[in-house]
Amino acid sequence: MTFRIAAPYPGLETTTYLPNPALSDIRRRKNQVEERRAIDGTLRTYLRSSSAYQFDYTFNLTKEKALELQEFIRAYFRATWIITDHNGATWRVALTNNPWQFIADRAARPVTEIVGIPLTFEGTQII
Amino acid sequence: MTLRVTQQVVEVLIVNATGGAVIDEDISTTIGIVSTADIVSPLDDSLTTVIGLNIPLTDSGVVDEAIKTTIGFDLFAGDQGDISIKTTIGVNSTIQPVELESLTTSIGFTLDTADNFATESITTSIGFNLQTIDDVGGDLSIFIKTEIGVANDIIVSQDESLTTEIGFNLEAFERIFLTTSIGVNDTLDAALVQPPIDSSFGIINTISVQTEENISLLTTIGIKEAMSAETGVDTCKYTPQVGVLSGDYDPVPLTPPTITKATLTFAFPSGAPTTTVILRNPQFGNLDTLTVNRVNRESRGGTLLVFADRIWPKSQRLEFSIPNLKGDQVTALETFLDLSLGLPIDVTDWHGRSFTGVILNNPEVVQVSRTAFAVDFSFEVLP
Repeated sequence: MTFRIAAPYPGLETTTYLPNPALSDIRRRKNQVEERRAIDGTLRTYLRSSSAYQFDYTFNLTKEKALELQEFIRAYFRATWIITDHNGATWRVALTNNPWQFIADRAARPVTEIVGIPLTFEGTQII
Repeated sequence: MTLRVTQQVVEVLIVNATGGAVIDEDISTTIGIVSTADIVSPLDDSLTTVIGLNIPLTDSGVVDEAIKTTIGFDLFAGDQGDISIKTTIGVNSTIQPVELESLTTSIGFTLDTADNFATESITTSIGFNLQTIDDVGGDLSIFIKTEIGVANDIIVSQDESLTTEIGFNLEAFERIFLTTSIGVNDTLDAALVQPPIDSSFGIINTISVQTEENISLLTTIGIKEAMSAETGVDTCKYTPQVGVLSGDYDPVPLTPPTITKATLTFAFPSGAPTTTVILRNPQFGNLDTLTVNRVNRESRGGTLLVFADRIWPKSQRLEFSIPNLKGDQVTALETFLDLSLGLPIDVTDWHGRSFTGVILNNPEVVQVSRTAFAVDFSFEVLP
């Protein structure tokens, strides 16, 4: 299983395959819970529910793949993306973090270095 | 005279009224049929319930009539006053299988009003209530879909067929706006060689004008097709899968970048360098930062909306630290910076890639030992 990203949606033009993200990736529902406390101490909560999810991924890529991802972001950062994650689920998302920092953090062979790139998405599942 | 026949199936009630009086008629026909069958064998079984009503009403008077028929109908009314015809069909279908199930509810209306005396109002409403309860595996996903206006999306890895069909036949006589709108978004995103996408639309709008009225006929079809064919999957090399481009976005370059081993080189002035400084390559942890201008907004319903104009500026900044420089290298670097700081220079990085840009920070030289110095750089790439 690989991690697939494609954009723009609809009318997909370009697809890029990435290796699976590093462990400790995060997925959370975009719910908001607000709490209010009455004068007598009674707790009241208000939930704003949402079907959307937020994702935090960190990809460790070869230099070539990092450059491909950088070109992909440069082309489609303002579009809706379709991602198929490492669990096989397909999501319609928008890329939410900005700026994007490609961090060359360690050496690798035969390529010269491994580049880490954190990406955050927000969207809904379609398949 | 009143004649009443009792103990019969049919009651006849005849009222003689004085000639010329206005008579209110009230005809009510109700048929209720409950059919029940227990299907216990795997053979073909059939349960059929047919209800048919024919209600003719002819009235030469001037009294408003109301005809209401529920389930199974054939209506006809002829009158010179206002006519109100209401037809209601309610269908509740429930299926509880243990295997693949198919639940289809279809309702077809044919309404025809031809009246030259008053304004007609024809309303056709279809409401589906679909419920599927599948006991296999307990709490499974249930998919209920009711649509007029279809957006289908298939992303699979095998041969697929995506067909969307909508057909409207609208016919109107006089004082009626006739509008037909069809919106279809077909997207095929396939991992294998796939058949092409066929989209066919046929819209026939016909207006027969019996009187002079304001009538507008508008037919708009927008078709956008995109198909991307993916031929290879490589998670290490530069292999973007680029399909048909719409022109709305800058394309991803197909040519992979050249990655070689090189040495960090600064050259000034840009394009025709006269001064060059060669330094050792930086330590790990260097940053390549891409920054864009973009607007993120959240709708009232919580949907994230992203917008950026393609001409809005983007910037790329390289930040790196170079440790263990020797004293003569630092001297050469400081001489170079005296000439070039804040001006465009050419940089060849440790992968052999060339950039033109500006050193933005005033590099500080840190002496970390008697013979070793360290320098940090922040370099912005010019577009």
